[in-house]
Amino acid sequence: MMICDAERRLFRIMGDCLLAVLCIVFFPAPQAGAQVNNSDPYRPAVWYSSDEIPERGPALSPLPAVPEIDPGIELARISHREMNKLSRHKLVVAMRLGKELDLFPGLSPASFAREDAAPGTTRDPSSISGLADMIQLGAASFEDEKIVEEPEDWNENVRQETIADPLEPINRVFFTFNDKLYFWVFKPVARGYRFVIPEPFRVGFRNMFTNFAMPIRAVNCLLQGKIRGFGRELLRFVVNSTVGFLGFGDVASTAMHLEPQDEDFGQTLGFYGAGPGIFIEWPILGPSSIRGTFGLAGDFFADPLTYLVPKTKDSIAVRGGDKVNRLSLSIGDYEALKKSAIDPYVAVRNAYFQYRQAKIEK
Amino acid sequence: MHRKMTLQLVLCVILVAAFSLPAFAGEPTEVIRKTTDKIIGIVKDPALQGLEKKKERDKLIRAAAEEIFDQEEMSRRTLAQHWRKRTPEEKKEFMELFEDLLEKTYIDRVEGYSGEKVTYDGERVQGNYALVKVDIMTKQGAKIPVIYRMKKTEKGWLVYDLSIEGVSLVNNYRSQFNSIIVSSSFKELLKKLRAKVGKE
Repeated sequence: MMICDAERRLFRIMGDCLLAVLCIVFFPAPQAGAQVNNSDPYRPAVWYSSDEIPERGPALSPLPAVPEIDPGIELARISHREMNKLSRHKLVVAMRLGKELDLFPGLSPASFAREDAAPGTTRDPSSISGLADMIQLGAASFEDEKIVEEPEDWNENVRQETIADPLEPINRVFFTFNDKLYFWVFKPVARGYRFVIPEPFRVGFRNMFTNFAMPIRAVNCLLQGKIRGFGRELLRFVVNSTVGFLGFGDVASTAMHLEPQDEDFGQTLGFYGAGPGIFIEWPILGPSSIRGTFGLAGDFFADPLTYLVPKTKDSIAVRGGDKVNRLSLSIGDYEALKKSAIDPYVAVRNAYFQYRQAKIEK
Repeated sequence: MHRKMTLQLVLCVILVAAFSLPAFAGEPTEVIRKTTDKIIGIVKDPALQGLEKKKERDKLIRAAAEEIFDQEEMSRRTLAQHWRKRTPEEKKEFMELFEDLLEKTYIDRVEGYSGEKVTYDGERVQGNYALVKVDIMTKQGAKIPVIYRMKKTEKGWLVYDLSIEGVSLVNNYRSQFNSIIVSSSFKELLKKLRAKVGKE
C-alpha cells in the first residue's frame, strides 16, 4: 500500500518533469494574461495548408462558438507555472539569506507575498499561493506562524503533512528493537549513572559536550548564511571555554542570553530545499530520514571529536558517555510519549518529522 | 518652540501607547494564564499532596482543563477526512474516548511538575483565531516553547491544538488515527482507544 503510493508519487513527479521539459522545448512561455484569441501572436488568423490558395468562395456561415482552448498554450502555461515554482524556490532561499544578512531592511515575507499578489498581474492563483506557502514554510519565528488553519490544511491532506514510509515493516522491527534496547540497556544504565552522579555535574558534562560540538553549529550557521548565529556561536565558545571553565558552565546562556544556535547539517540540507525523503528507523541511532542520515554524516565530519578521538573504540565510548549523560537528564520523556500514543511507532515517526520541520523553518 | 516640543512629546506618548498596546496580554493569553495558574495551584496545594489524594487532584485538574479545550474542534481536526463519514453516535463515542485520553496524558505531564517557570511570550490574533506562545523553563535551564492554537466560540476562547517544540498534538494523533483507520477500521480505532483509557 505504502510502496504503491510512493511509486505513484514518483511517477507523477517524473511525468511532471517530462512534461515541463517538453513544454519548454516546444512552446514559448505565454505573456501574462495571454488570451487564446486575437492576442496570441503564434496563431494565424485562418488556417491553410501550404499548397492551398485562398479563393473568394461562397460566404461560409459562422461556426458555432467553441470554447477555445489551445492545447499548446495550455501546456506552455503549465510548464511556465512549474518553472516559476522552481525559480521561486531559489528566490525564497535567496530571500531568507538576504533577510539573515539584512539586505532588505523592512521587507518581510508578508509584504513580499502581498506584492506578488498585487492586482493587475494575471498570475496563476495556484502559483501565488504556492509562493505564499513557501514563504510560510520559511516562517522565521512566531511572528510568521500561520494563525488561521484553513480546513484544507487539515481536512484532506493527511498524507501531505507526514513523511513517506515505504520501509515501514523493517522500520517497525527496528523500532521494537530500539524500544527494548532502551528499556533493557540504556535506561537502567542511565538510572544507575543518575543515582551515582549528582545533577549539577550531569548538567555540567552536558554543557561541556555541547560547547565542544560548537563547530557543527557554527559551520551550519555559516552554510545557511546566518552570520549572526555564527558570531554568537564563536562568542559563546570563547566565553564558555574560559569563564565557564572548559564549557562546564553555560555562562553565555545564563549571563549573556547567548543560547546555542541549534543548527545541524540536516537543517542546512532542508534550508536549501531538500525534502526528508523517506523515514528510516536506524538500529541504536533511532528515528531518521534520508536527509537526516546525510545530516548525521555531515555533522560527524564537523565534529571535533571525530579528529580528537580517532579510534573507533574510544569514539564509541566517548559518544556513548555523552548519550548516557544526556539520557540521565531526560528519563521519562520517551515513556510519556509512549504512554500517550495509540501507535507509538507512528507517533514517533510523526513527532520526528514535525520536530525536524519546525527546526528547519527556524 | 516650547509648544512644538510639548506637541512632540504628546505625540510620542500617544505613539508609544499605541504601539505598546499589543504587548499587553490580550484575552487569549489571559485564558491560558488563568487556567495554567489554577492547575499549578492545584498541583502545589499542600492539602492535595500524596497518593491517596490523587483522585481528588485529578478531578480538579480535569475540570480546570475541560474549561479551555474545545473538544469537538479537536476531535474534528484529529479525525480530519474521516470525521464526515462517521455517524453522530460514533462521533460522540470518539469524542468522549479522545477526551479521556488527552486528559490522562495531560494529567500525567502536569503531575511531573516540579517548579518549572512559565512565561508568556506573545500572542497573535486574526479574526476568531489566535496563537498564544508560552515558554516553559525547566530546572536544568532548557527552554520548551509551547504554542496554543485557539478559536473564539460562544464559550469564549478555547484551545483546539497545542504544539510543544513544534510538534502539534492534533497533527500527531491525526497521523496515528489515520494509520489505524486506513490499515484496519474505525471500529478498531475505537477498540484501541477504549483499551488505552481503560474502558473495555
